[in-house]
Amino acid sequence: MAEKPSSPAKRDAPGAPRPPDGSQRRDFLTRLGAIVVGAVAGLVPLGAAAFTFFDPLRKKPPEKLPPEWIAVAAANQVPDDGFPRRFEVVADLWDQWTFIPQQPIGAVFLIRNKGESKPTAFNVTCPHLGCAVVLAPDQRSFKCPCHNSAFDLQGVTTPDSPSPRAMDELETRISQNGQIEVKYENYYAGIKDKLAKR
Amino acid sequence: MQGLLRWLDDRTGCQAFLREALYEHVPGGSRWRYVWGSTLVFAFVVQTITGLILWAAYSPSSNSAWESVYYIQNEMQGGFWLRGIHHFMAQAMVVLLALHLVQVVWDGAYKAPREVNLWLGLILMQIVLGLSLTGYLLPWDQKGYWATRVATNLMGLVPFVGKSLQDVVVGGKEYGHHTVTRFFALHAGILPALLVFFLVMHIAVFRRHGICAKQPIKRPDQTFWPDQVLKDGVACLAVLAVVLGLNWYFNGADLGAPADGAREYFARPEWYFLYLFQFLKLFEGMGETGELLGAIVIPGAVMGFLFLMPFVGRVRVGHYFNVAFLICVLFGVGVLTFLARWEDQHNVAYQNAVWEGEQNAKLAKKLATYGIPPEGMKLALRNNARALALRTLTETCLRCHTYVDENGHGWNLVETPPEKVGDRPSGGPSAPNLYNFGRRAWVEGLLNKEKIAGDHYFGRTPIKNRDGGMVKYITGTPEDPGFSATYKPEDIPKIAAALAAEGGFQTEDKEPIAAGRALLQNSSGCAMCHEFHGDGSLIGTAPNLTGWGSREWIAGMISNPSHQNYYGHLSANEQTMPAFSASARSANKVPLHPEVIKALAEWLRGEW
Repeated sequence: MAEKPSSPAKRDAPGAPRPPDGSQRRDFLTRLGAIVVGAVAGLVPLGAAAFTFFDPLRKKPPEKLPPEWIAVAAANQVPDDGFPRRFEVVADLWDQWTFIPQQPIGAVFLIRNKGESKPTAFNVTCPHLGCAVVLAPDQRSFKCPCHNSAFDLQGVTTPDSPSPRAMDELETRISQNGQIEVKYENYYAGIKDKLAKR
Repeated sequence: MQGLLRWLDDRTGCQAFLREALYEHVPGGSRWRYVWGSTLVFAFVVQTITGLILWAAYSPSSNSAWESVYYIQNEMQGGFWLRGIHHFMAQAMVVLLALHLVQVVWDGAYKAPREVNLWLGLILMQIVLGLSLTGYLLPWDQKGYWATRVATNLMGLVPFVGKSLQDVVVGGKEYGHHTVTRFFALHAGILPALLVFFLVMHIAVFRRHGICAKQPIKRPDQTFWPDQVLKDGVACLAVLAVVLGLNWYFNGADLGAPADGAREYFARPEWYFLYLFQFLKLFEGMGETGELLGAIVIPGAVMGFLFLMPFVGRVRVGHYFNVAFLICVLFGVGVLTFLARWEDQHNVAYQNAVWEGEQNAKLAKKLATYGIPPEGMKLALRNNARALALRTLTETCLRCHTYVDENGHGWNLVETPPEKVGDRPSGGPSAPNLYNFGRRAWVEGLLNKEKIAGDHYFGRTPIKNRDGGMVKYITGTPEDPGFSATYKPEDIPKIAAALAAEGGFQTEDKEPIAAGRALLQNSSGCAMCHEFHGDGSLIGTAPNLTGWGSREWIAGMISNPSHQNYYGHLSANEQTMPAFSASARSANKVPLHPEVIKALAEWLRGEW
């Protein structure tokens, strides 16, 4: 051991630099400079990261344009017997960089009551928390398998249901070539208002 | 060697550090109750090691996440154990957290001057729960996908910023690539970094105040090394043993069918979040307010109270109140978890969905062994004849039929009397159990007086009461001249063997098969009505038993049950099963593709 290593105690030895007492103008500028330079160096990458991270709040991806009419079934597949039938909604799907043509993007229940010319359509997504609603075993109501939300065949919540709103009804029409078309949309779950995810 | 160590110590101070770490003062000596913190550190280290290697094989995107996890689990050497340890250690960590918290509160280790350390610990608890929640999604199977839809929708309920928060976490409005990448970044980067940061502070503050020794101190003081280290080590080993045991017992970490937003699934969270799930159900009929209370306000208030425990502990009986509060909360959690489980076990629709999920998962893994196309397993599954057959099975066949094994496991329809709603029978089985169809056991049950009129066979079908029908024949008595079973009970296994052989099952016992064939061709027995390798004169009086239960026979039955070969002899009212082939299906119904019908027949025969 030729050299005696420095020990932490040496820092407090006479002659070591002392913390500035803050009385001089130059000290103030140095401190201000250190803070500003440090903050800029730190905040620029942080800001760049946050800016990209919050991209979903600004972006309007192509699939979020107002919905178009999508044919989901032939008119004669839904007789006017008041019985709900489930159909998949097939459309082009964008998943960020992936484009998947003509794939199921969701499903609807179609019900046509006696004498009605076009059916009522409900999005199968539960307005409570976004599970998929199924037909109850008695086939006279809809039921969500997650938190037991229940809806009658008009889509209205039953009294013992935790869902804040009725099932989300979608616009329908019958096209000239006898297809049932639906304006398919998804809505934010869990709130009283029917707010489209767009 | 000594010299080298001294040289290193001179430059780094490592000896002092080691001394500081190992010779921590333990007043009253080592105790088992002090091990929980160490087991948690151990669990975190295990998660880091296994997680990094899982990372090395994981591919975060919506068309490769499930696929890469499948590959880790089933194709990589040791992947079964690596993923199993990570999966079950995550669950052990939650249990250890609860134990650590109980021990800290019970011993009053949260009181001054250790308040800040309690808060750091509670923050660590949130981070670990966040890791669990994000990790649940990463396999991108149906279970994780649907549970995450619920969890992120709950996030949307947070006042003011909820919607934005939800969009940022999900990575857009819809679930896809960026949901996986964001959850992965949280799970493998952001949350572990935060955890390390708070863990370092937690340990530093812990060392500043020292261990909160159990009073009164009766035994001599010790240092951390070696007595407490031994106890900690034993505890860590025990945790590891439990984790390995769980992986063995459950046959590895679960992997469901690949996530598909267009295929509904009964979402359930991981078991340690079930109490929150069940809690939400209590707020029925209260709308938005109920949700806010159940999902955010009340759980938030309970967590908030835990943060305030040091102040409550200052008043005279405050400590006892804190202990009682924590015990009540844990008891409530236990009761709610039990209720969630109990409800699901008595929910036939849920049991059916679980069974369907198992079938889909099995099929996805089977297809994956043939190689997964670049667009991923979800799309491969959607257009696969077998997948379509499974979907037909659960959406159509099992509307009337059941599929239940000897243990009652399988697809059990809800027990309500069959009646028609629209053009379909309402819930409740109205047709025979398809389990084992074509095999000996099925035939033996059919020919059993007690069973044929029961729910598993023709008990709920119109042909139960048909004059001159099979049920009357089997259950008939000798007083019913000319029309009662002419075979002896000991003949039943022979007939069953012969019929099973028709479908290609049970071909080894030659002798009973020959005897059974003779019985089937006896013109005062089966061959009064059924054709069986005869001249064809009996076709059209009862189902043709030639080739019964074979793939072709079943496919023909599904295609058109009203054909002469099957139930063409029944009246229109008695013919309850619809036809599914393009040629026989009524005009406004979508027929099944022949490949799907073939796949259905193969599935029923247990061929895939």
